[in-house]
Amino acid sequence: MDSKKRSSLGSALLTIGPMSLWTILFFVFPFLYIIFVSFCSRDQFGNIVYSLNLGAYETLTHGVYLQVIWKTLKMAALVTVLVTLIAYPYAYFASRASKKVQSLMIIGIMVPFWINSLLRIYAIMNFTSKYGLINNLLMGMGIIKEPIQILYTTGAVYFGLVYSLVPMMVMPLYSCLEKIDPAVLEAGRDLGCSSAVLFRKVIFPLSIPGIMGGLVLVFVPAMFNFYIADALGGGKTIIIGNLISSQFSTAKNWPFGAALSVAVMILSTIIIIIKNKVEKARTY
Amino acid sequence: MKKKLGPVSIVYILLFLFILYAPIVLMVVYSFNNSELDMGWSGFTWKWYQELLSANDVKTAAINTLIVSGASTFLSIMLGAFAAIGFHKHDFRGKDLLDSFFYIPTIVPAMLLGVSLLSLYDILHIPLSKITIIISHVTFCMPVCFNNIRVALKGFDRSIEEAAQDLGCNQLQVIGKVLLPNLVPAMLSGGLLAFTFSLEDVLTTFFVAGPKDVTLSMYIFGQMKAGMKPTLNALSTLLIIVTVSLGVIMQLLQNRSVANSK
Amino acid sequence: MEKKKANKMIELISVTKKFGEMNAVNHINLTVYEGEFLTFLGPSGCGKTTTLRMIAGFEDPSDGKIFIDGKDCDNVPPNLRDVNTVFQNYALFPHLSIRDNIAFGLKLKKLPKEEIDKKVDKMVKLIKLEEHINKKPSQLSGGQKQRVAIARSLVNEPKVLLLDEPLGALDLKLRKEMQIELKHLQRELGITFVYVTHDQEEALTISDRIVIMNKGNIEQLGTATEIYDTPRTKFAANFIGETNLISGWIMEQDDQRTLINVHNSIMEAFEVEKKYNVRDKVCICVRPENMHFVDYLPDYSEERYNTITAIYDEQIYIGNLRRHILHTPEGEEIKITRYARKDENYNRGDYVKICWSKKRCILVND
Repeated sequence: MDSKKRSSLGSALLTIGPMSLWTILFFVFPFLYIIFVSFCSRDQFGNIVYSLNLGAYETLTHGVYLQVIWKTLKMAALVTVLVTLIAYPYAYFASRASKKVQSLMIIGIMVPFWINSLLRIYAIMNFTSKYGLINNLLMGMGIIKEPIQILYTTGAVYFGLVYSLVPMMVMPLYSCLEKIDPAVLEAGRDLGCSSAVLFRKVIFPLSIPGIMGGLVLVFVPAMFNFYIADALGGGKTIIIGNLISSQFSTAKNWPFGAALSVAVMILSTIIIIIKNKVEKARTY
Repeated sequence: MKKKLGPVSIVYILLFLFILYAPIVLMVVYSFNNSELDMGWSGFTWKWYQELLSANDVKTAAINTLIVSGASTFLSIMLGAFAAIGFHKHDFRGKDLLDSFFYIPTIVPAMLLGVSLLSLYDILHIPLSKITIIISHVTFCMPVCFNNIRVALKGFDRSIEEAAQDLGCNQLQVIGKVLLPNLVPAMLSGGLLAFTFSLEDVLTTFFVAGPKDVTLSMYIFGQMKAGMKPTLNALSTLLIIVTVSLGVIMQLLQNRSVANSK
Repeated sequence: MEKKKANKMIELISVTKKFGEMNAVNHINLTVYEGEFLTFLGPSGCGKTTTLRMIAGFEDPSDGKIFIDGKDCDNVPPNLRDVNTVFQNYALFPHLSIRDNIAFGLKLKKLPKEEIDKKVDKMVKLIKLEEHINKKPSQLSGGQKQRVAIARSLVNEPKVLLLDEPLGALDLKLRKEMQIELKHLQRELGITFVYVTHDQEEALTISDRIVIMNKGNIEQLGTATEIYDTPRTKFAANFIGETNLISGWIMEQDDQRTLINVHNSIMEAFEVEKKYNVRDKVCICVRPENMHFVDYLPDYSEERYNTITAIYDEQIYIGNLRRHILHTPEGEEIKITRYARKDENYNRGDYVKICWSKKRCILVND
């Protein structure tokens, strides 16, 4: 019996060991290290000086940087709201449609998932450019006479973020709405709910877990996606994402970049915890 | 309550899909545009594709991508499959905890993974190269494969393994003759997903790529910052064809593995 | 009892299986003889499947010993045991064709290809699936899958075939057909079958001997007729067929008869095999077809029959039979099955004298 146990332990280590080791070595360890770096400082050549201090975090509280963080959060929040508003009707209609329409609508949202998000952003560049479709349409309808500047504005960044993140919200919302038993809605109608009341009192509360699922998939990437801000904002829109990225590349201030990373890590953890809390409270 | 959608909803759905697809279609169309971009349509041409295919930096990027994504996918499938089989075969304390631990790399923002791995390579004095990209990609691709294979194993009837044992297989033969052949669809679909993730990654690769190891994503990112170019449209079109076909294959495989386990 | 002269094929000696604190199988002793069709019968959770799995080697006994053909099976993995199992959900290999499924065990034994082909072809013929040989399991119906599963095991010519509710997933009609097929197959091949089911009718149809299990214990072991005619426990009496149970206590026992007090009437049983003490609580067990109306029993006499009074409730037709439901003044339900005749005409609430032969008065512990 003992040898059986030993060989079982051996095979467990052999199979699960490599992945565990990999995750510890290339995930846990670097994260611990970056937390450590955030408490270090740098010399004039950009090298890390291993003396523990809170310098990097002090820099973080400078007005400029706080403003960037605040702006990013506002932007991510606004993007999340917009994405939710746009995605909700689509997910709702998909959940109520006939089987055939439903599967078409799902394929419609799946295909963009498969296309590289970078390419989709590049498509937006085409779309919003001087002679892009938007300008052409607007001119065609006679709303404007001359092409207007859309690309390289904050508006374009918003458009790009919403555009690329909408599918992330549709999927969890759809799978949540799809699960609502039609009998529940019929019961609501039977008890005298109008469509609006039915939505407010029954459908919306039942769909909150879906929104929460989408929240994490939308809000967190919206804070980090520096290439959207870079490509569509023309480098003028600074969000946490490109602020961190520049600390590690051009500015060579790793401790500050690390401190920023730790800060947003804490932020995203809080969001995930909120999401889990809400989901748990809403599991029927 | 499942009923026909009203006119308002149909208009909404069509508009939604129009905005979702119009930019992509426009980009594809403009890859055949005779004039430079941002000047309107001026006739059909293949010339951007010809130019693209003769550009050396694109070729290098494509080869780099194949190496990086191919190696990352292969390693991810191997490590993920091993761990999934181990999870399937053994019960131990803290299994659920380890399970959720394995998924964390996929939840953590890709960019944070990039900067922290960059710091790790720096302190260990590992020069940035294709290998450092591969390591980073495996870290977030492996859980995807692990998950796919684990789900397939969960749906796999344990009595099939018992039947194999009963008919004369030892533990290793059960894995080799019964488990693995049945896991092929799950391994392939997980692998394809991992491949797409690896192919598309910019946020991590940006930090851990050596200056010479430009992947396609990095190449496009670099070109994009410089503005629009018809060759870039052509490249995007080709990539879209590749990734969408991969996606379709993946979906078909997933359907098959679901049908198989029934 | 001819079978008992045959070789011992499987021997369980005080076999116990613990899951946590619970004894799923509780010190059972059992011998299975070569060539017999033995069935474990019991409700779900009675330990029958666990026992089978211990014989197959999928579970290790917590205590006790298992011998297969005289060999101690302690620590012998399933792949090295000379038994094969047929699973309830077929457990066919989804990635292999029917042919490869059946050939699986032979290929592992590294038999020459011609021999494998010959054996597989013979087996496919036996189960009448010749035209499906190149299909995948998902293309077969439930009944066909189960045939393949049986063939896949039998082709290895095991000493014992273990069957774990193999027909459980099939519909009733198919199940009946397969029962007959299985019985024929077993007779033809002469292989020992150990079968697990919770369906008493199935057990009665196919088995040479039946083991009735309950809560990890063997309640009774015997042929179908033995168990039906002389159940040893209340559980066995209830589980096989229908029965009337009338409770009372022992007044007296000598070597010819036992006297039982049933609500202050004295009943007599010519059964003395089991020894009782005075005041032991017992149940008198009478099958519905052995219970009679005194009014309609021409040769009734008080010396040969135990008689009680019951209150008539209703009657139900079951084909050519008629079931009468009554109850004793103490509230015990009484069922009487008779051929449907027109002349029995009782009304609800009538007091009716009913009786049963003292020779057929079976006692079980209450």
